[in-house]
Amino acid sequence: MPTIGIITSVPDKGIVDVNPAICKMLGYARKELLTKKWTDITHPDDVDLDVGYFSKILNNEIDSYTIEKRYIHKNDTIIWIELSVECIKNDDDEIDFFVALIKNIDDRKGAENRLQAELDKTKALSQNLENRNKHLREFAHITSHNLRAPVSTMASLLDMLISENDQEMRLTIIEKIEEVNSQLLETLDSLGEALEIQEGQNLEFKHADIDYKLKRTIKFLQTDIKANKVKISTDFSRAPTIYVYPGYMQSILLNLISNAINYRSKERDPIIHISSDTDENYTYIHVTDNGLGIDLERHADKVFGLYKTFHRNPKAKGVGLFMVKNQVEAMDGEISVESEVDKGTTFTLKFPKQ
Amino acid sequence: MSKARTLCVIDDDNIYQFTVKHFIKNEKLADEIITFADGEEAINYFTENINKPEALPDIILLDINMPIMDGWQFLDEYEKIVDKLPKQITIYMVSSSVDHEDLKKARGINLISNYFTKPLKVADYYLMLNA
Repeated sequence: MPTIGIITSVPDKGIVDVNPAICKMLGYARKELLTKKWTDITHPDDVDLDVGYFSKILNNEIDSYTIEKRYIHKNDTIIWIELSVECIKNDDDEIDFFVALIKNIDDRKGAENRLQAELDKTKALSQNLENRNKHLREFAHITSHNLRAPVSTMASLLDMLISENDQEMRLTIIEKIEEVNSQLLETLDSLGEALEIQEGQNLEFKHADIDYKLKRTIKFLQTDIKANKVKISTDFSRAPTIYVYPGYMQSILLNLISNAINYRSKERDPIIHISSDTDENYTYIHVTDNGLGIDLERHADKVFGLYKTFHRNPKAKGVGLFMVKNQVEAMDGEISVESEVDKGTTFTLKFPKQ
Repeated sequence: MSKARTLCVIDDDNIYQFTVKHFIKNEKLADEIITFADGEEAINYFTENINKPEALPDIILLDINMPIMDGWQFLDEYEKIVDKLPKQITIYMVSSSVDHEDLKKARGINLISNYFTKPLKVADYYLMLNA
Protein backbone atom coordinates (compact mmCIF):
# COMPACT_ATOMS: atom_id res chain seq x y z
CA MET A 1 0.00 0.00 0.00
CA PRO A 2 1.39 3.43 -0.90
CA THR A 3 2.25 5.60 2.10
CA ILE A 4 1.40 8.88 0.40
CA GLY A 5 -2.11 10.02 1.15
CA ILE A 6 -4.11 11.52 -1.66
CA ILE A 7 -7.17 13.73 -1.32
CA THR A 8 -8.99 15.02 -4.34
CA SER A 9 -11.38 17.91 -3.98
CA VAL A 10 -13.44 20.06 -6.24
CA PRO A 11 -14.33 23.73 -5.79
CA ASP A 12 -17.74 24.15 -4.06
CA LYS A 13 -18.07 20.38 -3.44
CA GLY A 14 -15.13 19.71 -1.17
CA ILE A 15 -13.54 16.30 -0.82
CA VAL A 16 -14.57 13.94 -3.59
CA ASP A 17 -12.01 11.17 -3.32
CA VAL A 18 -9.45 9.83 -0.83
CA ASN A 19 -6.99 6.95 -1.14
CA PRO A 20 -6.53 4.15 1.45
CA ALA A 21 -3.25 5.65 2.70
CA ILE A 22 -4.84 8.84 3.98
CA CYS A 23 -7.70 6.90 5.55
CA LYS A 24 -5.19 4.83 7.47
CA MET A 25 -3.12 7.90 8.39
CA LEU A 26 -6.15 9.63 9.92
CA GLY A 27 -8.00 6.59 11.25
CA TYR A 28 -11.18 7.24 9.30
CA ALA A 29 -13.13 4.98 6.99
CA ARG A 30 -13.28 6.25 3.40
CA LYS A 31 -16.98 7.04 3.80
CA GLU A 32 -16.39 9.09 6.92
CA LEU A 33 -13.60 11.08 5.35
CA LEU A 34 -15.68 11.96 2.30
CA THR A 35 -18.13 13.82 4.57
CA LYS A 36 -15.39 15.94 6.20
CA LYS A 37 -14.18 19.35 5.24
CA TRP A 38 -10.37 19.79 5.22
CA THR A 39 -10.70 22.27 8.08
CA ASP A 40 -12.27 19.49 10.19
CA ILE A 41 -9.11 17.40 10.05
CA THR A 42 -6.58 20.25 10.31
CA HIS A 43 -5.14 21.44 13.64
CA PRO A 44 -6.94 24.73 14.41
CA ASP A 45 -3.63 26.62 14.73
CA ASP A 46 -2.63 25.62 11.19
CA VAL A 47 -5.87 26.51 9.40
CA ASP A 48 -4.86 30.12 8.71
CA LEU A 49 -1.56 29.08 7.18
CA ASP A 50 -3.29 26.73 4.76
CA VAL A 51 -6.08 29.18 3.95
CA GLY A 52 -3.44 31.79 3.11
CA TYR A 53 -1.87 29.62 0.41
CA PHE A 54 -5.15 28.20 -0.78
CA SER A 55 -6.58 31.66 -1.45
CA LYS A 56 -3.48 32.44 -3.51
CA ILE A 57 -4.40 29.52 -5.75
CA LEU A 58 -7.97 30.80 -5.99
CA ASN A 59 -6.61 34.23 -6.93
CA ASN A 60 -4.51 32.68 -9.67
CA GLU A 61 -1.30 33.82 -7.98
CA ILE A 62 0.12 30.29 -7.71
CA ASP A 63 -0.76 26.80 -8.98
CA SER A 64 0.63 24.75 -6.15
CA TYR A 65 2.19 24.91 -2.68
CA THR A 66 3.82 22.69 -0.12
CA ILE A 67 3.59 23.28 3.64
CA GLU A 68 4.15 21.44 6.86
CA LYS A 69 1.11 21.33 9.11
CA ARG A 70 -0.75 19.20 11.62
CA TYR A 71 -3.71 16.93 11.04
CA ILE A 72 -5.87 15.54 13.79
CA HIS A 73 -6.35 11.76 13.85
CA LYS A 74 -9.79 10.33 14.59
CA ASN A 75 -8.49 9.42 18.06
CA ASP A 76 -7.61 13.11 18.65
CA THR A 77 -3.82 12.66 18.40
CA ILE A 78 -1.85 15.13 16.34
CA ILE A 79 0.06 14.08 13.23
CA TRP A 80 2.63 16.23 11.47
CA ILE A 81 2.29 16.01 7.70
CA GLU A 82 3.80 17.56 4.63
CA LEU A 83 1.03 18.74 2.35
CA SER A 84 1.46 19.47 -1.35
CA VAL A 85 -1.58 20.95 -3.05
CA GLU A 86 -1.81 21.27 -6.78
CA CYS A 87 -4.69 22.66 -8.77
CA ILE A 88 -5.59 21.14 -12.07
CA LYS A 89 -7.13 23.51 -14.58
CA ASN A 90 -9.29 22.85 -17.59
CA ASP A 91 -8.74 24.19 -21.11
CA ASP A 92 -10.46 27.48 -20.21
CA ASP A 93 -7.94 27.98 -17.45
CA GLU A 94 -10.56 27.43 -14.78
CA ILE A 95 -9.92 25.28 -11.74
CA ASP A 96 -11.09 21.75 -12.38
CA PHE A 97 -10.07 20.05 -9.15
CA PHE A 98 -7.36 19.93 -6.51
CA VAL A 99 -5.02 17.12 -5.66
CA ALA A 100 -3.50 17.07 -2.20
CA LEU A 101 -0.53 14.77 -1.57
CA ILE A 102 0.05 14.09 2.13
CA LYS A 103 3.19 12.61 3.60
CA ASN A 104 3.37 11.62 7.26
CA ILE A 105 6.41 13.42 8.75
CA ASP A 106 5.51 12.78 12.35
CA ASP A 107 8.71 10.81 13.04
CA ARG A 108 10.89 13.56 11.62
CA LYS A 109 8.94 16.25 13.48
CA GLY A 110 9.15 14.24 16.65
CA ALA A 111 12.91 13.98 16.26
CA GLU A 112 13.09 17.68 15.47
CA ASN A 113 11.04 18.56 18.53
CA ARG A 114 13.15 16.30 20.74
CA LEU A 115 16.26 17.94 19.33
CA GLN A 116 14.78 21.37 19.92
CA ALA A 117 13.94 20.38 23.49
CA GLU A 118 17.50 19.15 23.97
CA LEU A 119 18.80 22.38 22.45
CA ASP A 120 16.60 24.43 24.77
CA LYS A 121 17.90 22.44 27.72
CA THR A 122 21.48 22.99 26.62
CA LYS A 123 20.77 26.67 26.12
CA ALA A 124 19.29 26.97 29.60
CA LEU A 125 22.27 25.10 31.00
CA SER A 126 24.79 27.33 29.27
CA GLN A 127 22.82 30.41 30.34
CA ASN A 128 23.02 29.11 33.89
CA LEU A 129 26.76 28.51 33.52
CA GLU A 130 27.22 31.93 32.05
CA ASN A 131 25.41 33.48 35.01
CA ARG A 132 27.58 31.52 37.41
CA ASN A 133 30.64 32.58 35.48
CA LYS A 134 29.51 36.19 35.72
CA HIS A 135 29.06 35.83 39.46
CA LEU A 136 32.51 34.27 39.76
CA ARG A 137 34.04 37.14 37.80
CA GLU A 138 32.22 39.58 40.06
CA PHE A 139 33.66 37.82 43.06
CA ALA A 140 37.16 37.80 41.57
CA HIS A 141 36.75 41.54 41.08
CA ILE A 142 35.55 41.99 44.64
CA THR A 143 38.48 39.99 45.95
CA SER A 144 40.85 42.07 43.88
CA HIS A 145 39.42 45.40 44.99
CA ASN A 146 37.58 45.04 48.25
CA LEU A 147 39.82 42.52 49.99
CA ARG A 148 43.24 43.35 48.62
CA ALA A 149 42.84 47.03 49.53
CA PRO A 150 42.43 46.66 53.30
CA VAL A 151 44.95 43.83 53.46
CA SER A 152 47.59 45.91 51.70
CA THR A 153 46.83 48.91 53.92
CA MET A 154 47.25 46.59 56.88
CA ALA A 155 50.66 45.54 55.54
CA SER A 156 51.75 49.16 55.21
CA LEU A 157 50.57 49.93 58.74
CA LEU A 158 52.46 46.96 60.16
CA ASP A 159 55.64 48.10 58.36
CA MET A 160 55.14 51.51 59.88
CA LEU A 161 54.59 50.09 63.32
CA ILE A 162 57.80 48.07 63.15
CA SER A 163 59.98 51.04 62.27
CA GLU A 164 58.22 53.59 64.49
CA ASN A 165 59.75 54.47 67.82
CA ASP A 166 57.52 57.30 68.91
CA GLN A 167 55.10 55.82 71.43
CA GLU A 168 52.22 58.12 70.62
CA MET A 169 52.57 57.48 66.90
CA ARG A 170 52.63 53.75 67.55
CA LEU A 171 49.30 54.04 69.35
CA THR A 172 47.84 55.96 66.42
CA ILE A 173 49.04 53.26 64.03
CA ILE A 174 47.52 50.54 66.18
CA GLU A 175 44.21 52.38 66.17
CA LYS A 176 44.35 52.48 62.39
CA ILE A 177 45.12 48.78 62.24
CA GLU A 178 42.06 48.10 64.35
CA GLU A 179 39.99 50.28 62.04
CA VAL A 180 41.16 48.46 58.92
CA ASN A 181 40.63 45.15 60.61
CA SER A 182 37.01 45.90 61.38
CA GLN A 183 36.50 47.10 57.79
CA LEU A 184 37.92 43.84 56.60
CA LEU A 185 35.65 41.80 58.83
CA GLU A 186 32.66 43.77 57.59
CA THR A 187 33.62 43.08 53.99
CA LEU A 188 33.99 39.38 54.71
CA ASP A 189 30.58 39.35 56.37
CA SER A 190 28.99 41.03 53.36
CA LEU A 191 30.66 38.59 50.99
CA GLY A 192 29.59 35.64 53.09
CA GLU A 193 26.04 36.91 53.08
CA ALA A 194 26.09 37.42 49.30
CA LEU A 195 27.48 33.93 48.73
CA GLU A 196 24.80 32.49 50.94
CA ILE A 197 22.15 34.30 48.88
CA GLN A 198 23.61 32.99 45.63
CA GLU A 199 23.78 29.46 46.95
CA GLY A 200 20.20 29.68 48.20
CA GLN A 201 18.89 26.99 45.87
CA ASN A 202 15.97 25.86 48.00
CA LEU A 203 14.13 29.11 48.40
CA GLU A 204 10.48 28.62 49.06
CA PHE A 205 8.57 30.75 46.60
CA LYS A 206 5.12 32.10 47.38
CA HIS A 207 2.62 34.45 45.83
CA ALA A 208 3.31 37.31 48.20
CA ASP A 209 0.89 40.15 48.71
CA ILE A 210 2.95 43.20 47.74
CA ASP A 211 0.88 45.67 49.76
CA TYR A 212 1.24 43.56 52.89
CA LYS A 213 5.02 43.20 52.43
CA LEU A 214 5.30 46.92 51.89
CA LYS A 215 3.29 47.82 55.00
CA ARG A 216 5.56 45.61 57.09
CA THR A 217 8.62 47.24 55.54
CA ILE A 218 7.28 50.72 56.18
CA LYS A 219 6.83 49.83 59.84
CA PHE A 220 10.59 49.32 60.14
CA LEU A 221 11.23 52.73 58.61
CA GLN A 222 8.48 54.60 60.48
CA THR A 223 10.92 56.86 62.37
CA ASP A 224 12.81 57.90 59.24
CA ILE A 225 9.60 58.41 57.32
CA LYS A 226 8.13 60.70 59.99
CA ALA A 227 11.34 62.63 60.60
CA ASN A 228 11.79 63.39 56.90
CA LYS A 229 8.11 63.98 56.04
CA VAL A 230 8.22 61.22 53.43
CA LYS A 231 5.03 60.73 51.43
CA ILE A 232 4.52 57.18 50.22
CA SER A 233 1.90 56.32 47.61
CA THR A 234 1.16 52.93 46.09
CA ASP A 235 -0.77 51.31 43.27
CA PHE A 236 -0.84 47.54 43.16
CA SER A 237 -4.16 47.24 41.34
CA ARG A 238 -2.57 45.83 38.18
CA ALA A 239 -0.61 43.14 40.02
CA PRO A 240 -1.45 42.65 43.70
CA THR A 241 0.88 39.68 44.20
CA ILE A 242 4.34 38.63 43.15
CA TYR A 243 5.88 35.17 43.04
CA VAL A 244 9.01 35.41 45.19
CA TYR A 245 10.77 34.26 48.32
CA PRO A 246 8.99 36.59 50.76
CA GLY A 247 12.01 37.04 53.07
CA TYR A 248 14.12 38.51 50.28
CA MET A 249 11.26 40.60 48.96
CA GLN A 250 10.96 42.41 52.26
CA SER A 251 14.70 43.02 52.47
CA ILE A 252 14.71 44.33 48.88
CA LEU A 253 11.87 46.75 49.57
CA LEU A 254 13.55 47.85 52.79
CA ASN A 255 16.80 48.61 50.96
CA LEU A 256 15.17 50.43 48.06
CA ILE A 257 12.91 52.56 50.26
CA SER A 258 15.57 53.44 52.79
CA ASN A 259 17.83 54.41 49.87
CA ALA A 260 15.07 56.64 48.53
CA ILE A 261 14.88 58.30 51.96
CA ASN A 262 18.64 58.59 52.49
CA TYR A 263 19.21 60.13 49.08
CA ARG A 264 16.33 62.58 49.24
CA SER A 265 16.72 66.06 47.87
CA LYS A 266 16.97 68.87 50.39
CA GLU A 267 15.00 71.05 48.00
CA ARG A 268 11.72 69.15 48.31
CA ASP A 269 9.79 66.80 50.57
CA PRO A 270 10.48 63.21 49.60
CA ILE A 271 7.76 61.40 47.64
CA ILE A 272 8.08 57.68 47.01
CA HIS A 273 5.71 55.89 44.66
CA ILE A 274 5.60 52.11 44.62
CA SER A 275 3.57 50.34 41.95
CA SER A 276 3.29 47.01 40.24
CA ASP A 277 2.24 45.79 36.83
CA THR A 278 2.37 42.67 34.76
CA ASP A 279 2.58 41.26 31.28
CA GLU A 280 2.28 37.76 29.88
CA ASN A 281 5.31 36.31 31.63
CA TYR A 282 6.54 38.76 34.26
CA THR A 283 5.46 40.81 37.24
CA TYR A 284 7.15 44.18 37.78
CA ILE A 285 7.55 46.40 40.82
CA HIS A 286 8.62 50.01 40.38
CA VAL A 287 10.03 52.12 43.21
CA THR A 288 10.19 55.76 42.16
CA ASP A 289 11.51 58.67 44.20
CA ASN A 290 12.03 62.39 43.64
CA GLY A 291 15.46 62.44 45.27
CA LEU A 292 19.02 63.29 44.28
CA GLY A 293 19.23 60.79 41.42
CA ILE A 294 22.31 58.95 40.23
CA ASP A 295 24.54 60.10 37.40
CA LEU A 296 24.11 56.93 35.34
CA GLU A 297 26.35 58.11 32.53
CA ARG A 298 29.14 58.02 35.03
CA HIS A 299 28.09 55.16 37.25
CA ALA A 300 25.87 52.86 35.19
CA ASP A 301 28.18 49.85 35.49
CA LYS A 302 28.70 50.31 39.21
CA VAL A 303 25.25 50.93 40.64
CA PHE A 304 24.94 47.39 41.96
CA GLY A 305 28.62 46.83 42.80
CA LEU A 306 29.93 46.17 46.30
CA TYR A 307 31.20 49.23 48.16
CA LYS A 308 30.30 51.59 45.35
CA THR A 309 28.86 54.88 46.48
CA PHE A 310 27.75 57.83 44.42
CA HIS A 311 27.12 60.63 46.85
CA ARG A 312 29.22 62.20 49.59
CA ASN A 313 26.88 60.77 52.17
CA PRO A 314 28.44 59.42 55.36
CA LYS A 315 25.62 56.89 55.61
CA ALA A 316 26.48 55.40 52.23
CA LYS A 317 28.31 52.12 52.53
CA GLY A 318 27.75 50.61 49.14
CA VAL A 319 26.34 47.32 50.40
CA GLY A 320 22.57 47.73 50.00
CA LEU A 321 22.15 47.59 46.24
CA PHE A 322 24.76 44.87 45.95
CA MET A 323 22.69 42.68 48.27
CA VAL A 324 19.47 43.66 46.51
CA LYS A 325 20.89 42.55 43.17
CA ASN A 326 22.09 39.26 44.63
CA GLN A 327 18.70 38.58 46.18
CA VAL A 328 16.82 39.53 43.02
CA GLU A 329 18.99 37.25 40.89
CA ALA A 330 18.73 34.38 43.37
CA MET A 331 14.97 34.56 42.71
CA ASP A 332 15.53 34.49 38.90
CA GLY A 333 14.59 38.15 38.71
CA GLU A 334 16.22 41.20 37.24
CA ILE A 335 16.71 44.71 38.56
CA SER A 336 17.24 47.81 36.50
CA VAL A 337 17.51 51.50 37.24
CA GLU A 338 16.56 54.72 35.53
CA SER A 339 17.62 58.00 37.02
CA GLU A 340 18.02 61.66 36.35
CA VAL A 341 20.27 63.78 38.55
CA ASP A 342 18.23 66.03 40.83
CA LYS A 343 14.95 64.64 39.49
CA GLY A 344 14.76 61.17 40.97
CA THR A 345 15.34 57.49 40.51
CA THR A 346 13.21 54.52 39.52
CA PHE A 347 14.24 51.00 40.34
CA THR A 348 12.35 48.29 38.48
CA LEU A 349 12.19 44.70 39.68
CA LYS A 350 11.13 42.01 37.23
CA PHE A 351 10.17 38.50 38.30
CA PRO A 352 8.86 35.53 36.34
CA LYS A 353 5.21 34.81 37.10
CA GLN A 354 5.93 31.20 38.01
CA MET B 1 65.89 66.73 47.59
CA SER B 2 67.01 69.42 45.20
CA LYS B 3 63.88 71.52 44.75
CA ALA B 4 60.57 71.94 46.47
CA ARG B 5 58.10 69.30 45.38
CA THR B 6 54.43 68.80 45.99
CA LEU B 7 52.83 65.39 46.03
CA CYS B 8 49.12 64.88 45.45
CA VAL B 9 47.29 61.80 46.65
CA ILE B 10 43.84 61.10 45.17
CA ASP B 11 42.36 58.17 47.09
CA ASP B 12 39.23 57.62 49.14
CA ASP B 13 41.01 55.39 51.67
CA ASN B 14 42.02 57.75 54.47
CA ILE B 15 44.20 55.16 56.16
CA TYR B 16 46.16 54.65 52.96
CA GLN B 17 46.53 58.44 52.82
CA PHE B 18 47.79 58.35 56.36
CA THR B 19 50.45 55.73 55.53
CA VAL B 20 51.65 57.67 52.48
CA LYS B 21 51.84 60.94 54.37
CA HIS B 22 53.70 59.30 57.20
CA PHE B 23 56.27 57.65 54.95
CA ILE B 24 56.85 60.72 52.77
CA LYS B 25 57.29 62.91 55.86
CA ASN B 26 59.67 60.51 57.55
CA GLU B 27 61.80 60.06 54.46
CA LYS B 28 61.45 63.74 53.49
CA LEU B 29 60.57 62.72 49.94
CA ALA B 30 58.33 65.75 49.27
CA ASP B 31 57.81 69.15 50.77
CA GLU B 32 54.10 69.21 50.67
CA ILE B 33 51.28 66.72 50.32
CA ILE B 34 47.76 67.56 49.20
CA THR B 35 45.03 64.95 49.38
CA PHE B 36 41.63 64.43 47.78
CA ALA B 37 39.07 61.73 48.54
CA ASP B 38 37.83 61.38 44.97
CA GLY B 39 38.53 62.48 41.41
CA GLU B 40 35.96 65.23 41.39
CA GLU B 41 37.42 67.03 44.41
CA ALA B 42 40.83 66.86 42.74
CA ILE B 43 39.73 68.04 39.29
CA ASN B 44 37.81 70.94 40.86
CA TYR B 45 40.94 71.99 42.75
CA PHE B 46 43.09 71.74 39.60
CA THR B 47 40.64 73.79 37.57
CA GLU B 48 40.42 76.48 40.24
CA ASN B 49 44.19 76.72 40.51
CA ILE B 50 45.03 76.33 36.85
CA ASN B 51 46.96 79.63 36.85
CA LYS B 52 48.84 79.01 40.08
CA PRO B 53 51.76 76.67 39.43
CA GLU B 54 52.76 76.87 43.10
CA ALA B 55 49.39 75.41 44.15
CA LEU B 56 49.63 72.50 41.74
CA PRO B 57 51.46 69.26 42.50
CA ASP B 58 54.44 67.79 40.67
CA ILE B 59 53.39 64.23 41.18
CA ILE B 60 49.96 62.62 41.48
CA LEU B 61 49.29 59.22 43.03
CA LEU B 62 45.91 58.25 41.59
CA ASP B 63 43.66 55.48 42.86
CA ILE B 64 41.25 53.68 40.52
CA ASN B 65 38.24 52.81 42.65
CA MET B 66 36.74 55.87 44.25
CA PRO B 67 33.20 57.13 44.75
CA ILE B 68 31.74 60.07 42.80
CA MET B 69 34.51 60.12 40.18
CA ASP B 70 36.93 57.24 39.86
CA GLY B 71 40.50 57.26 38.59
CA TRP B 72 39.62 56.62 34.96
CA GLN B 73 36.98 59.34 34.94
CA PHE B 74 39.46 61.72 36.59
CA LEU B 75 41.91 61.05 33.72
CA ASP B 76 39.17 61.81 31.17
CA GLU B 77 38.55 65.17 32.84
CA TYR B 78 42.27 65.81 33.36
CA GLU B 79 42.93 65.30 29.66
CA LYS B 80 40.65 68.23 28.91
CA ILE B 81 42.70 70.65 31.03
CA VAL B 82 46.20 69.18 30.67
CA ASP B 83 47.21 71.62 27.89
CA LYS B 84 46.30 74.59 30.06
CA LEU B 85 48.36 73.42 33.05
CA PRO B 86 51.36 75.66 33.70
CA LYS B 87 53.68 72.80 34.62
CA GLN B 88 54.53 69.20 33.93
CA ILE B 89 52.75 66.83 36.31
CA THR B 90 53.64 63.15 36.55
CA ILE B 91 50.76 60.76 37.24
CA TYR B 92 51.20 57.34 38.80
CA MET B 93 48.31 55.00 39.15
CA VAL B 94 48.32 53.32 42.55
CA SER B 95 45.66 50.73 43.15
CA SER B 96 45.03 47.58 45.09
CA SER B 97 43.67 46.10 41.90
CA VAL B 98 45.68 43.20 40.49
CA ASP B 99 43.03 42.85 37.81
CA HIS B 100 44.78 42.30 34.50
CA GLU B 101 42.19 44.46 32.74
CA ASP B 102 43.01 47.46 34.91
CA LEU B 103 46.72 47.08 34.20
CA LYS B 104 46.15 46.79 30.47
CA LYS B 105 43.90 49.84 30.51
CA ALA B 106 46.47 51.86 32.46
CA ARG B 107 49.23 50.93 29.98
CA GLY B 108 47.08 52.26 27.17
CA ILE B 109 46.82 55.72 28.71
CA ASN B 110 49.69 58.06 27.89
CA LEU B 111 49.01 60.35 30.83
CA ILE B 112 49.98 57.56 33.22
CA SER B 113 53.71 57.21 33.78
CA ASN B 114 53.54 53.96 35.68
CA TYR B 115 51.25 51.62 37.56
CA PHE B 116 51.94 50.54 41.14
CA THR B 117 50.11 47.95 43.20
CA LYS B 118 49.26 48.56 46.84
CA PRO B 119 50.83 48.15 49.33
CA LEU B 120 53.50 50.56 48.16
CA LYS B 121 56.98 49.32 49.04
CA VAL B 122 59.93 51.51 49.97
CA ALA B 123 61.43 50.93 46.53
CA ASP B 124 58.18 52.06 44.90
CA TYR B 125 58.29 55.39 46.73
CA TYR B 126 61.85 56.01 45.58
CA LEU B 127 61.04 55.02 42.01
CA MET B 128 58.12 57.43 41.96
CA LEU B 129 59.66 60.37 43.73
CA ASN B 130 63.23 60.32 42.48
CA ALA B 131 62.28 59.71 38.90
